[in-house]
Amino acid sequence: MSKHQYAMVMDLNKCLGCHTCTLACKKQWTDGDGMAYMYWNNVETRPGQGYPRNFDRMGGGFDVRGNLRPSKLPPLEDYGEALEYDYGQRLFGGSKKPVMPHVLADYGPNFDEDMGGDDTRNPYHFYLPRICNHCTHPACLEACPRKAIYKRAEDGIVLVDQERCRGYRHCIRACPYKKLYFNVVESMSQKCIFCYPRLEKGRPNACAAQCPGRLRFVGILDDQESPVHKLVVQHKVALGLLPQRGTGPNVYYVPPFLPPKAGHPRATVSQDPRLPVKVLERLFGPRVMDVVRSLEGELRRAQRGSRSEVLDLLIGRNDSVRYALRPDIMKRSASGK
Amino acid sequence: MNKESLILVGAVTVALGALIAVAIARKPHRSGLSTGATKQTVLKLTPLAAPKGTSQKAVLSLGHALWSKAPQIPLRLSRTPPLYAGGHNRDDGHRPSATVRLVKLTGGEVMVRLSWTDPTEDTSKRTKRIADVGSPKIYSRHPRSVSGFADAVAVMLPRKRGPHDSYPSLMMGHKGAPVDLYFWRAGLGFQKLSAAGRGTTTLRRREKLGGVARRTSQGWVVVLPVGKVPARTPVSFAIWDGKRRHRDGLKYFTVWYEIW
Repeated sequence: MSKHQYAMVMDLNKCLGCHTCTLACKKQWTDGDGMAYMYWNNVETRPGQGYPRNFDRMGGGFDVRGNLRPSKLPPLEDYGEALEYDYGQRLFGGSKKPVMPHVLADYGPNFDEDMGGDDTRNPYHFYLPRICNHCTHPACLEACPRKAIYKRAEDGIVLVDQERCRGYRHCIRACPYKKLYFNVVESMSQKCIFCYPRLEKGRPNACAAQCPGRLRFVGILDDQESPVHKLVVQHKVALGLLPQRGTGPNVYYVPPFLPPKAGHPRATVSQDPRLPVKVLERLFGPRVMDVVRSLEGELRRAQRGSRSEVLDLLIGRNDSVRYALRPDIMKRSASGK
Repeated sequence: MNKESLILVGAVTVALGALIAVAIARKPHRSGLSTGATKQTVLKLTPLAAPKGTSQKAVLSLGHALWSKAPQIPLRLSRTPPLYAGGHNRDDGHRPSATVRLVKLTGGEVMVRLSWTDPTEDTSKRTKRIADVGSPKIYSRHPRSVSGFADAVAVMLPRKRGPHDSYPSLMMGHKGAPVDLYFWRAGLGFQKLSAAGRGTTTLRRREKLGGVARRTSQGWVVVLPVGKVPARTPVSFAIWDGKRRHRDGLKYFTVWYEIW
């Protein structure tokens, strides 16, 4: 158990699906050899199959008795190949062929974009940005026979020791979120590092800093002044992904709530939800409709002219509202004091 | 119970014990992982002494005449028991046919040549793509697969070379009895590692291991130099079949032999 736990809250009602977070992460961390298909941060559309395909139905995590339940190892086809385009030949090599990807694109990150769900009168979709959940009980850590995965005592960030990893990939099978990736060139697993080098310098995670929708909140979960503590612990309006897998994820989501179905303007969201309850419950667990009702209450309060601390927080006007970074605890602990 | 009955029960017990002992000695050691410090029947490997002046570099050639003269000894392989949750690590009963030959140079260095059958070539080597459009060069960075595993082989010797009253644990040695590992993985190449118990394997980055590997129509042939080896040093071998998703402790292994 770590002394403190860094956590992130993402307000899914604000996600534009622009993938700026993904590009920020990709540019900063995963543009090396063997990392082409890696998205430590990805954004997927729901309803949809996710990345890798059907990761949320694959298994992984722990059963109710606390036993590891590893899934299959997703093949590259479930990620889709990173596409290469022959711009050189097309632009400078005299080729008259059109620029084409080197293989047929039959799957990839966010392959389901804009498909949405339900009929044309009541369409729905939402974006689901995902990073490693830096779980309280990481299944990847439990699965690694070499103890190459560790959870930092000072801030709860889960890392792969690149000196110890031998590329066995038990971690990938164990992770219910499939947020570890195997680098074929390096022959080892790699994953989101929660931008700890940035946090140690007092800068927010790259994905959060670049987010135009300002939907990400970062802080220490047990720091009562942090937005993540307020949203998760105090107001209880943010939930972890796939909580039934027993890993205790530390990335939390303010669930999306869309207007009621067309033709029911006076109904509440929970009375006539456009987003099927079962879709939300499968992703965020049985408490999700309680949270939706609570958020709707906060919205009504604001509409009546009263102040809503939850909405003030979720608007996230500036960095001081969205981030409560504590480089002091990281440095103090790292130096062994 | 009368005297005759006691004698009969005693005789049956002794006979059964003898039968079990013979069976254990003859059959592959399926439960060999429990073999720790207990010394078993000595399985001898006798290296061929190389003529004076033979260099290590020369013997690293698979076609060197010494290899055809060195005694070819079949290895008794076992499969490790299932280690993890999930069905893929069950023992399907298959064992590759594996042999070992050893050559000892005049300086005391031993070269180990392992060959084993493996109908499928599983390598982590990056394969060059056949491009649909444009130059194939731009596609050469693509991984073959993120879910495939590579064929591999390892030779394990105790750090303390020479005769042993008790062997280190087959599970990568144990505390106080570290082992050196000479490892080759298809596509990755050769590595020298050390360990003192399961899960402790550590790559010795600064120690480069020269070796040679070749894919044949039957399987693989690999030659590894394992340094100076005094007589009666224990040695054991392991083979991983990538097709069977072998990695880590999922592998074929031998019990301890001794290099004489």
